[in-house]
Amino acid sequence: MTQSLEISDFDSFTNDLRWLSDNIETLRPEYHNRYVLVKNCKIVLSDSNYENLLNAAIHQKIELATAVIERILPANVQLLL
Amino acid sequence: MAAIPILLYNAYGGERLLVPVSLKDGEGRLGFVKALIDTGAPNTMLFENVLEKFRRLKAVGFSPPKYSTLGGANFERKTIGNITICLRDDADNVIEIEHEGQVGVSYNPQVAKSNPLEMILGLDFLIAHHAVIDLKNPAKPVLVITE
Repeated sequence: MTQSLEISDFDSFTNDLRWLSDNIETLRPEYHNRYVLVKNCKIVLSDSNYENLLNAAIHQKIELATAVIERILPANVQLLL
Repeated sequence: MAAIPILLYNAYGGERLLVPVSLKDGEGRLGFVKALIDTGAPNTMLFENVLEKFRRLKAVGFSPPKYSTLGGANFERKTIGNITICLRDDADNVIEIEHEGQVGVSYNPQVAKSNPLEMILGLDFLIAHHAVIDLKNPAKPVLVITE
């Protein structure tokens, strides 16, 4: 049971990552330079400050353990390491 | 041997290799992070936003301190003790790998505030598990590892 629950969480998290990756260009104008929290293939929260986003999620009882959180970079920025 | 499905992730101004990771510590499950596969990084490392997300994790500095420079920004590497990195393979098995957890903490508030990365799977992990990044089918990239 634990294994199947974890697999369904893997599926949800992966689907949300894929959705964000596939839709980044259409989301960017509204959310650029903001952190977004994605659940079930939609943005449920956004904030320019990471800590504020987490606090809002906790306040709304959104489970952070399975949430995708991403900062939407401006279109002309590429993240290199 | 396990084949871990990975993503060509497009949110960082170009495609990057990303793998969904579920983390556990001694108290049990913490949750998911997005881990960037980075063959240029010597260390597997979390970032301080993960400490904010999973608040029971506590980072302790090394003595003497250890540092990493990423993209020109300095991070102090701190330990969070042993963690379990959980990966899902293509047969829907969850593979659990123990790893000494390190967190990169920046003292530059601008860097700390703007860093979107949560975790890097670095060369230490990739070498230890004889990893092969298989991009033969770009629609279904996989990370093949030995457990």
